[in-house]
Amino acid sequence: MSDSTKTLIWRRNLIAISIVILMSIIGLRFFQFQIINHDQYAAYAENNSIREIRLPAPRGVILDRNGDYLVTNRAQYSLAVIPAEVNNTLEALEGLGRYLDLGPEEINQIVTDASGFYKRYQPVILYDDISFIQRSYIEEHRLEFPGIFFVDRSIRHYPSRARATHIIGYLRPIAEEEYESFRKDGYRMGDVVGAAGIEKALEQRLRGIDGYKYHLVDNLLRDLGSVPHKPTLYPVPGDSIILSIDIDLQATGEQLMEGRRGALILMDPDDGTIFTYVSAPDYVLAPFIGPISPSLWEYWREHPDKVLLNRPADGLYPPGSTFKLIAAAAALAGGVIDPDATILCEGVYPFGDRNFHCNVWPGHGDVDLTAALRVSCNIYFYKLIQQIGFKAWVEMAKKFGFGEATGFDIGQESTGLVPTPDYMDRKYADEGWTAGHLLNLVLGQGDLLVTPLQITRMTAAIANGGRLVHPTLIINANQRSTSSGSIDLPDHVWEHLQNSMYQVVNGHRGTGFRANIPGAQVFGKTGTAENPHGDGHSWFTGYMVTPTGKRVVITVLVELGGLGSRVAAPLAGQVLQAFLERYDATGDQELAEIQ
Amino acid sequence: MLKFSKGYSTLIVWDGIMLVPVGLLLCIGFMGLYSTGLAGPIWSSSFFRQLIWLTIALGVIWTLRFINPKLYTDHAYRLYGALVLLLALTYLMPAVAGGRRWLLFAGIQFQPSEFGKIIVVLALAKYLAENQKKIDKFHFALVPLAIASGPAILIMGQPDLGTAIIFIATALAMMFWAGVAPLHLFIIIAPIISLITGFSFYTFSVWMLVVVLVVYFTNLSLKWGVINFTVNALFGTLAPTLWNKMQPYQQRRILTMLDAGADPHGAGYQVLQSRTAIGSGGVFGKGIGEGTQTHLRFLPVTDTDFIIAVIGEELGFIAILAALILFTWLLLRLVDRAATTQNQYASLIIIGFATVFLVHIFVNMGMASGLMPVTGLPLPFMSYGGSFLLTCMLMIGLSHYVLAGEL
Repeated sequence: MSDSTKTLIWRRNLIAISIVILMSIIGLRFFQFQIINHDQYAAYAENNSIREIRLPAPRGVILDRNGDYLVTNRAQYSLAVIPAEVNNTLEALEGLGRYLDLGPEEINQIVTDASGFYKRYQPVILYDDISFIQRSYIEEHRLEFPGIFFVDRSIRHYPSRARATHIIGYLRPIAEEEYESFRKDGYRMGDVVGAAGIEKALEQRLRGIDGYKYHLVDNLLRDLGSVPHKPTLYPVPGDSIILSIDIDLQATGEQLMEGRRGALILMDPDDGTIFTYVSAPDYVLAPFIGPISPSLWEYWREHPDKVLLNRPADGLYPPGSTFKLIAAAAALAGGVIDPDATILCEGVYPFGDRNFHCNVWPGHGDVDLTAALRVSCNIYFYKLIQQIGFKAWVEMAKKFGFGEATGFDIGQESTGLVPTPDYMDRKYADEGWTAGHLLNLVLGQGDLLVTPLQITRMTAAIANGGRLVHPTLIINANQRSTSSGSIDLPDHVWEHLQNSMYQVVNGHRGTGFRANIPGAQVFGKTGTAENPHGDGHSWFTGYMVTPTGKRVVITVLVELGGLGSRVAAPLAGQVLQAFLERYDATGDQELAEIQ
Repeated sequence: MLKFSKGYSTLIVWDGIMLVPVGLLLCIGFMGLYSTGLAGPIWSSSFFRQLIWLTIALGVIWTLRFINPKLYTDHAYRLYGALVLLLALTYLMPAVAGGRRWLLFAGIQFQPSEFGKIIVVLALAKYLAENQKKIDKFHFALVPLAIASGPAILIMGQPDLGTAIIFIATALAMMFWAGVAPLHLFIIIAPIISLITGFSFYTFSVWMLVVVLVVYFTNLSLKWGVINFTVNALFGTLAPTLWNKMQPYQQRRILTMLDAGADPHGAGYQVLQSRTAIGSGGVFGKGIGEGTQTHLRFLPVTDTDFIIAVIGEELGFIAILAALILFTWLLLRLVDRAATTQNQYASLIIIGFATVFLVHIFVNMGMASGLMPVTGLPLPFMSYGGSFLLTCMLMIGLSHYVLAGEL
């Protein structure tokens, strides 16, 4: 008995100890979860049951210099359904489809596809961009269609009569492959971002700060309303951006360039602000506000006219005779010639084994520097460049900012190309290059490439007496300096150049006479850049001084347009005329009020 | 045959020390069930239905007090035979939720495996009590294991791994209590451990070293030593093969135990949500009806398998601690009664019942907190389920009756 009792006691104790140990293990496990790691699990539980709903910030609006809207936002409504709550009867679906041009089978298909157990309480879009009439009908019959609601999102709206396509730029959704780089800035998959123009350049100011609201959801993500202890954070809209563009002048410019290819720029030579910035041809921005259909995208990208190219800043062209101004500046600054000395132009200039021709037959007769610019005499400049020398000419071109970016504030910009002796040595290493090449370069042909914006800046520097401005589309763009420095030349050089440009428009047989307008002084230079593909590129660059002393620079380029004097010059005249009407009397006051 | 005896019922002594924790545990369980039933009408809630089942259970216990407990032991083998038959019958029943566990009898569904827990304990007690003298022979120790294995194998095929494990665990505990030599138990359990350690070469090597040491330091004959070693080595090396033969759901559940995050929408998802419910409850809980995990349905099967997670979320660690103390109190009281009675049958039966309770509690709460695989074992006195509540209450009632009778 005593022996069996003893063994019984140790068995009982062993079992009792085992019970206590096992229960303690469970107790410690719960202690670990409920006391030690409580905060972590409380956060998990909250994360489970609280859905963060983003309230996208309205994108900033874009205005012109007079406060008129170029870009605003409008609400786009889509019809969404909660699959689990839809009344799936035939009559209900027919009633719903009646105003949506959707058949009951189609609706049923969409709803059925979205009715999986774990997603049946998550809304699915039934119809995108619903019209006001469709919406009113459904609102009126709301009780017949349970599970239906409208979601709105803010999309871009372009109310102005100027398209300003390349200025504003299009938007597009973030692509999957670039998502990683956007994510650190708080973007989400499917967000729309500026992909060109101002929309891209000022994306960070335009996008605003998204808001958030918090809703309670269950395991099927069924929405159970707001959470009392998590107040809504309202979105902060993006900045409003004021552009230097004038909608009326922009529209005029676009109208004039309709059916042509090229660029038209109207700029204030003193602060670099641009009134008109046309890249032709352009396209309508409206279809680009959300997801862009691949076919539309392909269409524009493959378009033979290179519609997406931002010609004023990114297009590269030979400058033609407008570049004679550079040679003239180099000659005057270097003092290598007497500007009043004349040269006989007989229409042809034999050089080496080749004859170089002037633009009229049988030549211009005796021309001095001013006259040579006025009639755009080639022979004068063939001889002039040999006196200036390649190096001095290159230096002068660089002083005027050619071969480098202008510091323009939107989009991609080309630097252009000013051939240097080094460059020529490299390029023509095999056959060698001769002074013959130089004769081409001085006329703005050959390897020389510029952008219309660089030409505009050159003209602005002549107009303002040597300041190289930063072209800009934005008023008070980050308070940055308006110029990148000045071209240090004696005053008489500027006077001579200005006077010559005046003669081009106003003088006898001046090539720019078609840009002349009554009531203001117009200065300019034409150019016709030869082109192996057909007619030359038609150039006009110049400026106007209004009676009140306001100055404005104009550059017009028409690709394959033919003679600068016949095509580009009259277009420039019409734009200047429009500017004069708008800003000379009343316009000045308006401008003063804004600035 | 059954004999009703008024005289016997007067011998029953109701044990307050055992009944108080049972009552309190039922109260905690009903609080949890009340919460899970808040969303719907009260008469269709598991709270209300559990109340009805409790009433039925109390009625059954009240009725059974007129039966001389000697009859249970007299007829234990016949009951056992009937159980095996009923378990076999479940294979003819249509599958419910992927398993064949229920029998439909006169319009009422019931799980024979639940009452089987009581019957197997009775049969084991009978065998162990009547063969006390031969118990130190190894081959006699194998018989109780066979008694438990029969129904266990049938239940494993239902499939219900958890319940099957209960039979084996209970048999081992009762054998230990009856006096089977610890060495014999070691020899019986060793192949199972070999099976588990077989998956890792290092743990298996350590384990085989333990086996060799035990064989060396005990006075096991050379023949038996070699046999024991060979069997364990065989089990360990066969383990990976066996694993591949397992049902995918069984493999998944075992893997889920090892890493709950690996399978967020299967069993791992359940455990993760259960842990989140428990952890987010903190010390005092979120309050009845305030648990987001429970009421927004992130937590699965709240009223049965995961009732303790509901209680953990809404009533907090305080309630969990209370439940654990009450369970421990009840189990220790059962062991104490088993140790103090002179009645060999009653002693073994109560130890058997205590083991059934212990395995349920440890496996269920371990499962809810991610310590054990999701086996679907309910929590005594708390999980909703008629057959199970009836079984638990019967075990408490029978513990009193067998102590009063002369078996």
